[in-house]
Order: sequence, then structure tokens, then C-alpha cells
Amino acid sequence: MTRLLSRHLRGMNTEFHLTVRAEETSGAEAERALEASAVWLGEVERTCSRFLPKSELCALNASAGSPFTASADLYAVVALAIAMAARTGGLFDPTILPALLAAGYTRSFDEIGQREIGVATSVATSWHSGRWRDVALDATTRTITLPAGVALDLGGVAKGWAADEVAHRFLRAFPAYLIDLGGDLRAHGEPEPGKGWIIGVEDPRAAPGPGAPDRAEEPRYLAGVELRDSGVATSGSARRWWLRAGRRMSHLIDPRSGQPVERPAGERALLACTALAPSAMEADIYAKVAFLRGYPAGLATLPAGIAGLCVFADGTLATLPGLETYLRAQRQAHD
Amino acid sequence: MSKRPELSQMRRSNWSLRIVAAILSALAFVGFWQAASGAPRNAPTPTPTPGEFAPPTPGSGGVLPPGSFGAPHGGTHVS
Repeated sequence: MTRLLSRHLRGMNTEFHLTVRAEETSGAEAERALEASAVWLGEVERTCSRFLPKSELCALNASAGSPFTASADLYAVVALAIAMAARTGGLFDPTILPALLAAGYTRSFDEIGQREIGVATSVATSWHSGRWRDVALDATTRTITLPAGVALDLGGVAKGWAADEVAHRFLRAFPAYLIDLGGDLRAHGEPEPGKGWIIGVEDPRAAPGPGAPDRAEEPRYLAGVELRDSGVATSGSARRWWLRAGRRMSHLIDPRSGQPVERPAGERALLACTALAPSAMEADIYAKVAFLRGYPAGLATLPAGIAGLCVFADGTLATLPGLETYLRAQRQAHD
Repeated sequence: MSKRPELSQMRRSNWSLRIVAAILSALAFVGFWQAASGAPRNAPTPTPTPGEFAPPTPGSGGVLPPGSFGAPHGGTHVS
């Protein structure tokens, strides 16, 4: 007899949901693993958040121009972020922080989301694309050296990385688990025999309006996918936005221009891209990359082993045959 | 003296046949592989039309259409 044990918590300005399938005899062990996961996720936020002035990331950014000896976790996520910048040709760029500040994303999204922030809240910065190439890493001493004027934002990678780490560090002994860190998910196993984890692709048009909570109470789903060993994440400009002097700004910066992605217009506008990948970190990053590349190039250029799905303003979806192949492989691996 | 050119010609002819046979075999194998895998390697990148996600059958291993899967275990959304 097995059962599903869950833990809900809030972190990184979003909701976390952890679910573990445990045997009747291992319930206490699962509870301890969930508790350890929750504690560790709190540590990740204190390490990687740019909104906590005492975070290790803020200390790293303040050290730009000099070598900084990082903790194992910060070094790991920064090294991964730089590696993914290289893999994506810079379409994912962790050195985007100055551009985010210039767009007015100076405080946590809880404070600025879906409201007017005024032009004075932005920070004049100079940002040049491709500075991730200048970040120096020394794995033997865990030293990170940011060039002067370069600062990191790990918001685009930390949740996906953390989901993978929770899976590896705390939950891998269990036959099935689902780690949902604010819509970036890592699934493993089957919650009940013969059935994978059903993950709904939320309708981005249900994103709340000005002054509303970050997330609709009852999400609407445009599609579902059944996963057994996969990461999944979604990116777009529909949900996380604010107004700056009347202009709608998105948290999604295009590294090619340094500007927030423009609000899409028209019924055929691309609203969101969902990526499925072997890890939540890859799904997190390639969802952004696919969205930035647009449709259909964003889907057609996904690397082997990663699949995607696009959602348009009229509520229709599009994908390539690779997604069906990916989903069938998920099923066949457990048959 | 007169047989040498004929022998040489036959050898050349044999080799030509072998090469043609090898090419045909290779093409047949590629065709079989494509048919078996359902994914032609050298086909141009398909341009899907919006709304294209088949087969819409729960449990088929494909994308599940809305309304076919009840309450999901989790949801992915713009983060």
C-alpha cells in the first residue's frame, strides 16, 4: 500500500508543492525528506535571491571586479548558468541583471507585479550582451570573478536547478515524486501503478490583471502531458509584468537587445512556450529560449531530447512531432 | 591479347553492377528505416499549424486535450 504525501510552502516569491509517493512503512521517512527539502529550499533562496540584501548572490554581485569564493551551491548554480549561456548561444544570459534593473525590476515581483511603478524606480545601468563570456570560474577554489559592471540574476535558472537538486539530494529513494517550484516541475515515477504524473499546461490568458494576485485561484488548462521522468517549465510575458510610466514591461529580457519582450498583440500572438526536458533546469531555460526565438523557430531549434509546445493568444496550441515522441518515450520507459 | 580488354570490361561491368546494387541496398535500407521510425531524417523541418497536437486520446502517450484528464497533479505556467 502506498500513499502520496505533500508539502506546500512559499519561496522565491512563488508557491512550492512537493509530493512524494511512499510505502505505508516509509511515511515517516518521506515526511523527513519533505521537511529537509523545505529547509534546503529556504537556504537556496537565501543564497540565490537578488532581493535579499544579505544573500550570497548580492555579495557576489557587490564583489564584481574581484575574485569571490562561493559556497558549493552558489558556485554550482552559477557555473551551470554560464554553461547554459554557452549552450544557448547567449539567449539565456545570467548577466542580464542590469537590463532588468533598467526596466524597473528593482524589487521582488510581489511588490511591483501588475501595477504602475513609475519611471523613477528604474536604475540607469549600462548593459552589453555577451558579458557572460567574461565571467571567470575556478572549480578547484570555487572562485567566481565577475568583471566590473557585471551582475548576475539567477531567477531564470535557480528554480529549475533547485527542483533537480531536491530530487537528487532528498527524494531519490522514493519510487515517485513531483517537485513543483512555481510552475517549474520535475517528475519521477508513477503516482499510482500504470499512470504517470499528469501535468496541466495552464492557459496564459488566465493571467491576472492589475492589482490581482500573481496567480488565478483556479487555473484553466489548455492541455495536459503525462510524465514519468522529466522536467517541464513554461515561459512567456503574459503573467509577470508591470507598468512603467504607462508602458507594460515584462520580466523576460531579450539578451539580444537588452529590452523587455514586447507585449504580444493579435490573436495569433505567441503567449507562452512550454518545454519538456530531462531536467527541470533545462526545461526552465529552453522554455525561455523557445519563447525568445518565437514560433515556429523556437520549437524547431530545440536540441535533441527536448520538446516544446507553444500557446497562442487565441487559445490554440502548436507543437512538433518531437513532443509526441518524447511523451511516448516517457510511457514506454516504464512499460 | 584480345581477351584482356574483354576481361577488364567484364570486371568493370561487375564492379559497376556491385556499386549500383550497393547504392540500391543503401537506399532501400534508408527507406525501410524511415518507414520504421516514422521520422524521415532528411525531410525539411515541418512547419506545424496551430492546434496541431495529435493524437488527442487519453492514455495514448500524446498530448492530452483539455477536459480529458480531470484534476492534474501539477500545472506548469509562466514563471
